[in-house]
Amino acid sequence: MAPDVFKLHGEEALWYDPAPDEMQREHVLRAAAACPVQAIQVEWPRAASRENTGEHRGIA
Amino acid sequence: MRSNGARAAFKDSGRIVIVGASLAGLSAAETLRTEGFTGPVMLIGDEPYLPYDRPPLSKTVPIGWIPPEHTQLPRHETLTDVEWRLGVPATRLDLAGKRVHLADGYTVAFDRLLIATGTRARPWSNPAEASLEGVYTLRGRDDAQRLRQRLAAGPRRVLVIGGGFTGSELASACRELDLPVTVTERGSAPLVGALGSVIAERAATLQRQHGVDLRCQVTVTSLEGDAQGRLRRAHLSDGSTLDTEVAVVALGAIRNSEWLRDSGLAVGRFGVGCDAGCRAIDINAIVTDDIFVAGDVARFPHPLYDYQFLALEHWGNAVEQAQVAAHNMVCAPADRRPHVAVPAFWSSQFGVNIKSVGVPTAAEEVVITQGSLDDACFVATYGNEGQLVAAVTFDQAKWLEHYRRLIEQAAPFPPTFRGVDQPTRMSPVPAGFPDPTAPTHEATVVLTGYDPNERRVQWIPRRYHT
Repeated sequence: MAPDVFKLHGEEALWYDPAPDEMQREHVLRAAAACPVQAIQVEWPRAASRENTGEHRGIA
Repeated sequence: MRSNGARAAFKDSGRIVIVGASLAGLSAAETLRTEGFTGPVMLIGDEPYLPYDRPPLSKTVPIGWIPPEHTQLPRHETLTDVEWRLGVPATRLDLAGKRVHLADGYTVAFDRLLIATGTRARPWSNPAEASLEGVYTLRGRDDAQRLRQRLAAGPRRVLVIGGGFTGSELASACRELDLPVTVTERGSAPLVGALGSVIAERAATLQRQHGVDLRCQVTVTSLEGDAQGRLRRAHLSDGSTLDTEVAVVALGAIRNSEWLRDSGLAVGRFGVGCDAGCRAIDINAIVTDDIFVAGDVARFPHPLYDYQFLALEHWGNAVEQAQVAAHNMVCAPADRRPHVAVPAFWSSQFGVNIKSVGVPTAAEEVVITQGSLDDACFVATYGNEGQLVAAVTFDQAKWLEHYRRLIEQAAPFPPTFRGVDQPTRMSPVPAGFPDPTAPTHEATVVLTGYDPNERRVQWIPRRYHT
């Protein structure tokens, strides 16, 4: 969905770009919606595009 | 006791200074505002950057997947009225005068202070060798940027000195970049200080399966440069030499507490002593009222672990302890909360997600309760005197919450429940932690049973080790 922003490192750990390019917005939202365990939380600050998976980071 | 009136007054007019502008400092500032503190807040940081996240610096940044500047932590925009003093280290605390002295000569007055100065990378012990071109440490954004550039240039080999979490993750990054990498580890296996030898042996196998030239019970005795001051080879304790242009020194962290040494607080290499409410303790082990501590630099007694004083260099601890500290800074004394969260950390290396809850180093024994060591997909539980004290998962993070609750309830060890995917034989074996009095490179959790009352005898002024 958004291979430049999210990638699975092995079987379990999800790596992500905390500050993806604005052009990735659509891909990021689609990837978050498609996450099988719904562990991706997306926040868009006013100034820039950024997402944060909070304490669940690393759990795909 | 502070009345509600006084509490309201502090919330309106008190001045709070936070020394340390990283994860703990940021979390505290956010909590102060959500708790309704409207007074002035100043954050002082020695680096020129707004708070950023460190875990990517040893994972996604060195492989070039994300640039270091993308690690800046979100949400600081909500702190529009917070004053930042970045790029200026604090040099001294005047406890009686309630002032922080800064390196640029300025002093900052406070009503309440939060100490969140964290740690720094332990430098290579020989300064001349440490200054050779090609010798790196990794702690901050600038370190990560330099290392990333060097790795991208394709060195013929990378030497990682120290097989703790940072060293192991860097070795993993090198292999992802297809760079030959050698890891030297003083102990019997990588991560042995944090996980014990039984699980650490599995980590060693993982490294070797991924092509790491892993050399255990070996230390680097010296680094040799050429006439131009560039690293050329390393001399090892087994008498061998290794030709390499890049060496990363990953020998653990040093707590940034030197600036407090004459402050009258209980401060040393162990960190800054505080109670479970994050209030700093002074040189006489008496709790102070207006000085608070949080994050990697804090050493606090944990009720779940016999009130032993712990310093936890974990991401989650920095956030949770800072939130408790900030709450206690502005609440009425009767509303103070203890910081009693069960410690937890994670690592991602060689494609395996390693997670831990509890304090593995508090354990005598370990047993695999789910999965098997052979396929690097298991839950290992750690026990001490019949009580469950920690659990470590390799690619089994989904079970972590379950084990955290068991630890909180002081569940028996070995666990008595019937789990899924249980091994046929479940007998605990010695966990194999190194002697805590022996020097180690990196212990994520430091358990020494430090008693503040003993500090007096160590309080004769002496040279600080770096």
